Amino acid sequence: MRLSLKVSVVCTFIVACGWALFASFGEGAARQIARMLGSRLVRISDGKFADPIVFVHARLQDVLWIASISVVIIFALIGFDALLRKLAFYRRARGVWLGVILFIGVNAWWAASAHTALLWCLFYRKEMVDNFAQFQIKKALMPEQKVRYQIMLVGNSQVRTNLDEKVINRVLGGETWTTEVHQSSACGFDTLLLIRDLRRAKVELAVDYVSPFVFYGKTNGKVISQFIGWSDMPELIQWGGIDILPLHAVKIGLIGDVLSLVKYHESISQRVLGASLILLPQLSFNDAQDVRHEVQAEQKKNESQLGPVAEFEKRAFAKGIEELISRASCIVLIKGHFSPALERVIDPRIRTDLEAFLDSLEKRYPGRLFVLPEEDFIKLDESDYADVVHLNEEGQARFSESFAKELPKYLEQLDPTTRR
Amino acid sequence: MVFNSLIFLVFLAVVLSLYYRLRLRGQNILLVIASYVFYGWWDWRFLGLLLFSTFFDYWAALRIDSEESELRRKWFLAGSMLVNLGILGFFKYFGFFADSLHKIFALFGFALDLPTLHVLLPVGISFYTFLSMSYTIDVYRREIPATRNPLDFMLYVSFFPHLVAGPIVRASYLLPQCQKERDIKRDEVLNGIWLCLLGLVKKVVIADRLGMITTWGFSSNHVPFPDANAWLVVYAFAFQIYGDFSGYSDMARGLSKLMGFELVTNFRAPYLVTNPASFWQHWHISLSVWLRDYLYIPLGGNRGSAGKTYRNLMITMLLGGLWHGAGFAFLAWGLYHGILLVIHRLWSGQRPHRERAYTNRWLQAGATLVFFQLTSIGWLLFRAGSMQPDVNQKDIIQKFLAAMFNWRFSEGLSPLWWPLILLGGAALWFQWRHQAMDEFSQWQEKRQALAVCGALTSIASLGMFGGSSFIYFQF
Repeated sequence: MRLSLKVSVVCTFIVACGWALFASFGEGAARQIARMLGSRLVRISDGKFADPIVFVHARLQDVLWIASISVVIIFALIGFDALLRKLAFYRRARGVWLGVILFIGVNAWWAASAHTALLWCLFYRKEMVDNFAQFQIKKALMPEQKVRYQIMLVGNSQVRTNLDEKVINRVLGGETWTTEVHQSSACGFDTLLLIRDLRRAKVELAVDYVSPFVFYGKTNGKVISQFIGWSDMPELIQWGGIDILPLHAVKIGLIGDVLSLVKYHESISQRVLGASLILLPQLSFNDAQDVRHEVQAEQKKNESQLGPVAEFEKRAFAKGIEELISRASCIVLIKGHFSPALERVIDPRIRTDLEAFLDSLEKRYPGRLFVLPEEDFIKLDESDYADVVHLNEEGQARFSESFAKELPKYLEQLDPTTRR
Repeated sequence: MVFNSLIFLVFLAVVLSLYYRLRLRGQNILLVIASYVFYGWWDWRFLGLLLFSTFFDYWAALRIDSEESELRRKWFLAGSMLVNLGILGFFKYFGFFADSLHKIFALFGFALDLPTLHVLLPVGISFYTFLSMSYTIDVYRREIPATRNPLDFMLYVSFFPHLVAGPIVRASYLLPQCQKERDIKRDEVLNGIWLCLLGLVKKVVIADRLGMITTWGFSSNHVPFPDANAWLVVYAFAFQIYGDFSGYSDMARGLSKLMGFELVTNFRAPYLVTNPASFWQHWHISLSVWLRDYLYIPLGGNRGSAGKTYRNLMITMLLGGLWHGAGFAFLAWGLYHGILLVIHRLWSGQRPHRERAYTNRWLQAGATLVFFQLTSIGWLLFRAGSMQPDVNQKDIIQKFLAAMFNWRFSEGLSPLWWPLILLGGAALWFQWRHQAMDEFSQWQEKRQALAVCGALTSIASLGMFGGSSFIYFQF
């Protein structure tokens, strides 16, 4: 038997033993490890999970899952090589073909392993974690939280800067667990893609912060390039999104749907080359921004526009809500704003259009979807904003505390049969 | 259409699938059409210029070849050079010379009323005009006969792998390949595939990623670092331009091999040399050879006195700098390398072209490091030439030099050193192993597989997918 096959058989045996041991002693081992390292893990994770025993147990399972995938893929590669060696064109350039097969195998391994939190933990650093890696970690950890109510905060960077999941978790206490999963610059279609990516998340309550940016702003294509798939294309074409969205981002996304390394390449680049390099364009943009909100507002006021792009984003967002409502018992859409400086200069018809759209969604899903104007629970002014779009730390803390106090009334309305 | 784009992949697949089914004449017709489509994709308006330049030199060479009178032969050669240099001068240098004349007259208090023309620069113009000129000069020198097949000549000039950024291949080398049946060997196809992958790694991983540092570092009127961290921006550009240009050249050679053609090597570990004479034998070799054969040697080369040799070196390097771009920064870069060559000649006596044999490895490493610093300073001048027009280039160069020669890391080490070390290290490793990179077909299959997988993985996971242009396309 060839060496690679022998090694593979041995590895299969080891993995099988691993599963057997895990089934028998997994919980005990997790308890022991959590006793030794639990508090340190909770501190490093910065509030991403509450129970270290559950976390460690799931990670042990991840190790075995990744090991199993590796063995399966190695067998598959050996098998393909053996099969293709019968073909003359393969034998003539076997080195190159084998390299291509190996590359496909690496992509398959990534695609399968990316569902585990363990893989994404390799990308985790306390500061400067890539946004996409954060999203994947939180997505993987959500099903592990054994609580009565699971709350998901989904949307763009305004969700991140307005709603601090740690504050909400602290205010609401042990019966609920809140996870914030955002992607910067996510507009309506982007939000649909995020909702689809989170299809396995079973949540009782989903929250989104909906400001004019979601429909009337312009996506930068980042979410599309990382989340779009071939299955999204029929709707995208039907809605005319091909003429609206950045085509390059769509192409990268579609290639990424087939080759997972392309899908995750920004996260991998940031981990290997460092966040300081990957974030240089953002740093240049931030440096070029005028600190005065009035000046920023003047520069940004024309970025929000009514028109076919807004209609496309609203349509996609509505589709996302339709899919989310089948998984979440309750959805709360916070009717949000920009800073007063920007609100003063954008087209007032945008606000009217936004409110009408959100009201129509509320009417479509009575008792399941609630539109909550932010002025109903907090009064914000210019001093709460870091720039014309995002709150500063003090503003975020106030906003999160105030919003957390609103949540129990929605949780009370949840259908008892859908509660955990 | 750049090599690192999806549309080029589709283009290549179509061209190759047809190419392998055809014989010589069909292949040549296909390649000429494909090359003109490739060039026209940039800007169809300049196809006429390429066609005109090609046919003028084809006709001029035929006349040179058929004329008995030396004077008439010279006239036709002069005509060819006038047309080529005229085209180059107009499209590339009109704005620069008009602007310079304005400034000179303004110094004496005169306002010169020259027309301001915003002339678009046709991509690859510096390359194909030099290529075409070398043909007519070689015909004049009776080194090669003029070809009587316009299709072969069109293919020689417009062959798409080398059309927009070289290498500048001599007619004596490439034209015979256009004229005879190509033997497409398995080993050369394997080498070609590998060179294409290697070139892509150098371009989208090394060059484009380091390009993020140089774009940021050279984007405004102030230097990014006030201390020795400024060196990292300059080093980043040094490795960026190497990755970009040698990556392009590798892809050009690789694509050619897939079709049975052989182009010249354009780079050979240029950052592992210890002196400027060796540098120009390892960097953009095809341009160095062109300048040597058609400028330096006709000027007298090193056959006259030492003073004349230095003069010839300076003129060659100044014009070499000007070839890269219409700007004082490029002239300054050429002048800088000319001075380095003169100093080196003074230092090393009569045989400066030979890499000095260092008996001590540490001395050699030290000399390599010192020369790399000198090269990097030259790159600072070169990159400054590409800055935005509203930026004061001289001021930026001075500020950069002041920061670099501060020699202190007053703000600690920038975290950007990490990607520079990683990617620059990879670039140096490719240079160190450049010969092995050309022998891919001789490697063991497992090694080939790991190399191909490694290249594809690094492109997919670390590459930039913007389809960015190559630096030398602007020349």
